[in-house]
Amino acid sequence: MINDIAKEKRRLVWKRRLFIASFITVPLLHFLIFTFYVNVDTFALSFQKFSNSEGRYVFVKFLNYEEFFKSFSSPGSVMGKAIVNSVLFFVVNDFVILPLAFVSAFFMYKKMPLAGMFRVLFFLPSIISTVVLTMLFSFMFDSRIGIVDPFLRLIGLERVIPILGWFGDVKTAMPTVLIYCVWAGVGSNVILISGAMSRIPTEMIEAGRLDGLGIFREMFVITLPLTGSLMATLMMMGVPVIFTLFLQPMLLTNGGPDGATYTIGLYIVNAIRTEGSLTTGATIGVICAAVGTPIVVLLRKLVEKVFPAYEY
Amino acid sequence: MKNSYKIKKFTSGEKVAIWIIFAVFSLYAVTLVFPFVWCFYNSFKTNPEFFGDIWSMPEIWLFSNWSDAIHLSVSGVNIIGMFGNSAIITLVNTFISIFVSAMTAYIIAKYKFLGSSAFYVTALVLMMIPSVGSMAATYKMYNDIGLYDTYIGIFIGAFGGFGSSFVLLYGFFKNLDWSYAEAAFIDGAGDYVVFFKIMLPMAIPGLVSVAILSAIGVWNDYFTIYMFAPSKVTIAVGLQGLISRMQYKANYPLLFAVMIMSIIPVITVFSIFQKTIMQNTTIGGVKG
Repeated sequence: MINDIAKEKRRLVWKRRLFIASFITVPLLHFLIFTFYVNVDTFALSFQKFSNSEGRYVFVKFLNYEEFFKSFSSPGSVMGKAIVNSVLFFVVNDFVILPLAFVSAFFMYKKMPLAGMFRVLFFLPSIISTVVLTMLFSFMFDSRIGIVDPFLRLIGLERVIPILGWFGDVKTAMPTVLIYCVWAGVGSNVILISGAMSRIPTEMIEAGRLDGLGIFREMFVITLPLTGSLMATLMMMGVPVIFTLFLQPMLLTNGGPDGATYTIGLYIVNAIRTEGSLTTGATIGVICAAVGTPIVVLLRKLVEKVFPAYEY
Repeated sequence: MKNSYKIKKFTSGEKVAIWIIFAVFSLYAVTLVFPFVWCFYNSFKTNPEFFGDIWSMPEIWLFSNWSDAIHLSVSGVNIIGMFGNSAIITLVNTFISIFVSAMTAYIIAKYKFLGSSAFYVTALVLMMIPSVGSMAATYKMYNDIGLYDTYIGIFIGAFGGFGSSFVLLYGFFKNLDWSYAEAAFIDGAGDYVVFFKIMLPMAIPGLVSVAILSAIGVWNDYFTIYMFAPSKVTIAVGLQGLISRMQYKANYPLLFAVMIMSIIPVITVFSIFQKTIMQNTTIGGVKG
């Protein structure tokens, strides 16, 4: 009798185990292949090169790394520019886009006229393909059909228009790509920050009002600290941008002119897709992970210090 | 009325500031909307008419660009084929990814097993790790096992259970009342019955919003196809192909027509589910 109950119990435990296994096996396998194996193979590939005579990848010790540092340290190298640009994208994301999004969200939250309409319109770029957005943006800056050049002529700033076009001039190409990122990137952050602002207890704001707190003081003294942990998270999410951003420059300029708009990510993608050098791509990937991980950890510590999470 | 009442509570300096910000917002909103409007009305012009005056409304609204667009093709796939590819990939990938994410989120949120709490943390960490670095190895694997440039290869990518959909659905299942499930267990229902007959139907609102977000992402995706299945031209890839071709043979109104066509599905879905989409946008939710 007792034996039967124990048996039945064991059967049920096994049934449940099988159920759990049936649910978790597919994502686990996907993870093991597409994340674990692929990362291990990235490491392995960085020590290999494709041998045309043997028709397979052969072990070459640190050759890929040597080549990387050689091309990196040569004067005016594309890799050098790519690193500077990648950091610039991060800086613009964390110190231009996010503050702008914060201020925008704040004024919408303060119920400025048409706030609801602005919120929807600002969100528009988030649902449109980057292909379409980059196309529209390059049209606006196009020298034949664009609206930017006629506008600048109208306000008497003709001299700032580059002769080679905004994307053709080495000096203006990168700033223009950065402007694109601000133009297209503010909206989705506004939505996230608005959500956090709407959760601030109204008593706090009313108490501030009674103490004669103006809206600008309110923004810095109440709203910013209370949405600080989200802002910190968003700033943290901006760090990987250094290593991952490539689609925007790829579609706008494909790294040109003269490598002026390359990023680390674009360098990897083009190494794989146009040059067919998988080992170069993998090597840069490994270097990025080695350099990037400590940076992410350090910045996370720093951000947590600057924006402590308040309980309310 | 409520708005004007609110404004009255501000000092005059603050009011000025608010109206300045209002002007900036309006200007920015115009830069977001005007390009679409401009492309839309210009898509009804002939190419010479367009270059004659790029700002004027079309003299005669010609639909020829819209009908001619059907004959365009990129890598041997015409516009109808591109829309077909986009539709198939969006439907299949969204279905697979939501189904797998829902199962993963459910099992981790509601069952305790070895390592179950570690999975959620792993998923969050994974979202932070750049995948560009391992792209070379992924590309090699796709080529080695014959997944490169196949539909199967595109679909297999969707089987990952630990993306942003997982994070959203995990929160959703965590908050779902477990007492219905317990009642069903007492009545002798099995784990599968509880999931498919009780919990999954209760999760439909959450699943729908996550599915819409995911579908928009897949529809707009350019890079996955460019990298892993270049001959399965979707509308995003095809449009980019047409844009680069424009450098040699410029027929802008035709291009505008294709562009507007490509965003119609997304704009339609957005106008229907606008509230849901905006409420469920999480970090890295839509753009990706």
